[in-house]
Amino acid sequence: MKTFVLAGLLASTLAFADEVVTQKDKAFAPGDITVKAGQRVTFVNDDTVAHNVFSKDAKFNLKIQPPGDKQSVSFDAPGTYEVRCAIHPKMTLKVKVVAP
Amino acid sequence: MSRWAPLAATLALVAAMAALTRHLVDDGLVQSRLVLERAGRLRLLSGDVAREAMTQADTTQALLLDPDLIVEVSEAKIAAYDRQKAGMSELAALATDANINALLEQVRDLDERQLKPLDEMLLEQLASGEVEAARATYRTTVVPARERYDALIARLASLADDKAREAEVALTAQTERTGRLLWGLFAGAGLLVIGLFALNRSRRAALDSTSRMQRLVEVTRQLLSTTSSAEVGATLRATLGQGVSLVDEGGRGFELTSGGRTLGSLDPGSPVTQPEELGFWQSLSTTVAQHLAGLAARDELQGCARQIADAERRTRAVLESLSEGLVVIDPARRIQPLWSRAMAELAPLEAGASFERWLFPDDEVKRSYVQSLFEQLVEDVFPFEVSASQFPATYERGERTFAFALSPVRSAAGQLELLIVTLRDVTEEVRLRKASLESRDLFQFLERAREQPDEAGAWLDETSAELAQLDTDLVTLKRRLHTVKGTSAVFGLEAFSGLVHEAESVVEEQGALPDAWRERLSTRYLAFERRARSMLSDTLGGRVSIPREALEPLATLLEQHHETQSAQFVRSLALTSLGARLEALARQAVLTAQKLNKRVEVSVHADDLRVEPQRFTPFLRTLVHVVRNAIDHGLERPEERVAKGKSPTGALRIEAHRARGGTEVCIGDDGAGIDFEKLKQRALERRMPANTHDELVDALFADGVSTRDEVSETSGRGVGLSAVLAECRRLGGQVSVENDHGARFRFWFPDQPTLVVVPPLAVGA
Repeated sequence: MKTFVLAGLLASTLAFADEVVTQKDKAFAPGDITVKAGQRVTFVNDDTVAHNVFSKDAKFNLKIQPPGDKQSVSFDAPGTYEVRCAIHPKMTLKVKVVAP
Repeated sequence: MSRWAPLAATLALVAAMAALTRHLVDDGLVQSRLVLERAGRLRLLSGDVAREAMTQADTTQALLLDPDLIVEVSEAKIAAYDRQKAGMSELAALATDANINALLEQVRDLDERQLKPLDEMLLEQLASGEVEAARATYRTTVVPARERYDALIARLASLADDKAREAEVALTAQTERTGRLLWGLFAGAGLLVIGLFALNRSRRAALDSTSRMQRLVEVTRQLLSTTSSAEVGATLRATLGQGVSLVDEGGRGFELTSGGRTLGSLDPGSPVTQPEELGFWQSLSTTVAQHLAGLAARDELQGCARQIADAERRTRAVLESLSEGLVVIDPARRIQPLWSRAMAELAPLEAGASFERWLFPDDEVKRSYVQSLFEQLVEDVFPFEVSASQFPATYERGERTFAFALSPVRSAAGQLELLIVTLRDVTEEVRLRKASLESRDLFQFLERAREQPDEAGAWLDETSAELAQLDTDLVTLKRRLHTVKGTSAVFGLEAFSGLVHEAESVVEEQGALPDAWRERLSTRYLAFERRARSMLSDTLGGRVSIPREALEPLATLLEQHHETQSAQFVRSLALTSLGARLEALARQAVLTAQKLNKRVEVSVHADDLRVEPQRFTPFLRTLVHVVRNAIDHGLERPEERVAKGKSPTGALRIEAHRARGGTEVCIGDDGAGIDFEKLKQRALERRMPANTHDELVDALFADGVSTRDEVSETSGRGVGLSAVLAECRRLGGQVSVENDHGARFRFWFPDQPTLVVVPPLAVGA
């Protein structure tokens, strides 16, 4: 019974595990990602400078993220979203959201 | 074929020609538009790229003032970045000229290697809270780099202009070619008509004379019996001309051919003797030759029609996909059946309908105004660009704003045949521009306030007071607006000063300031003041402020304790230093000169005089008009000054000293002086006396008299000097004007009760 509950918990944790995108050397890593609708993406600033991650399509703006900061965003509707940094215009990321 | 057949054929041909001509005109028009568009695109793109770069710079500037704005501006900034990048790529694709390419390379290099990294660095500094460092980066490195960038873009635009001029020359040549092609087609069609007529005649002749045809062989035989075949051949060739040949068939005689067709045979065994029969052969051969020429012309015409149909299809495709609104109208402003889908989406278009009615369906006044502008344009009295520049630059429909532009389509003879109207959606640009101009105002103001905090604070107080009292008589209203405009321009508030300038124009037109305008000015100013004051509190930090009204009780208290000198000093704190105010005026003069690209050296010579601020400030504020007039009207440009044997830098002298039992403030320049001739003319137009120097001086200070022909943001309304005189008289002062080697204004005020003279430094003495 115990094992079953643990397995269930693990499964639900896995199903809703956050996708992590880091910002390092003024670039998003690991690059364009695909997530399931409803899944959260955590943006971690692993850089030595601040970033301002936002998406016009997905309608969010994480404001100024100092080095070491992390924030999560939930992508609910399927589609492809472009994510940018207002301080470093060359930083771009595509998040493809597919039906779960 | 019936006898009406040629007529029917002719009518059909004329109809076909008319259709072809219309196609050709349309085609020429489309070609013209494409050539113009391509040439103009380069120019437009360089402007777009500069604008997008400026939008990014503006957002950075806004962030320098308030880093928290990042959430509001990030989308706009990145969108501008993307558009700039796309614009640069399109420019690179469009630029085939080596010079333009080299320049583009420099622009890209400067942008990517300097401006963008600097911008990133500055924003990183801001994001990590190093606001002062970011501002310093902006002043010392970003501003100079941006100036270099602007200079390069200006050079690019000028090169693009050269290209546009070349394209115009090419366009003229193309129009001439179109004209020649039209003539060619007319000639070809004419030939076809002749050919068809002749063919028909020959057929009729052939039908009418079947019996004669049957006799022909007989007659030919007779001819050959009396004449040698060589002679017959030579005669035929000489008379029938090109295209017809007599082929020697040896024993079988001769064959008459044209273009590979056999027209008839001459049998040696059947000689021709009758000259009229030979004439018949001639007529037949000529007719056939003409017919063949007609067929060739028809083929050529059909080829042209195909090309035209292709061009028409391409044009439709272009118009369908064009993102900007485009419609063609004729000089009578009737809509032509050539418009882009974007235009029709704005509001349905109907060929032949009035264009101004489409523009303003519900506004009779605007409609007749635009109609008069179009009529002036079509009269062709002024150069097209001049008349076109009279049109409003923007057009508003619903909540959208469009840039309105006109291009002419001229015939080969230069006559205006059609007009191309384009509407480009600039709603977002206008919104961003406005927001960024307002931030720029604030930025400039804070920069000035950093250097002159007291003056900036005083200006905020004074301007609030002026704007709170706009509900007054017309003359005072005009003076107040003029003063607010002048002083706000001096503090770098270009957008706000522009708004006041618009308000002045409204007052000029309507004779009053509508409530909506009063509301607009006050809302804009209050929003600005709130932000400016909240940011100024830093700059003014570390000071202790004592309300002015608390000084007098303090002085009285000191006097009661027999501290006369200290009491005098305390009272002097409530006074303002005349020298300091004149120094501020001098700085305003230098800024005005920079704005007008003139060079001036301003010197201030003031004794240590102090005046009551409440009484004197209104007068001192109006002195800005004297200074601006001196620089705008009086001082010549450096090259003019050199030509007159003067130093290229003008001199402006501001003085304040004791004189004739009072105080004199004097402002003089070494410029061209006041144009008294023109002033006299203006005074006489207003039925004012203008014979003596004093009368002319009165006219100079009168309300609404200006020697300027145009109203500019700096001066020209004839309001400024009248404001100075009014304030001077309010203080019981006198004014005199000298006009010798430049203009010199002297204002004299009696000592009491307006002026308090305080001995230099009362404390510690």
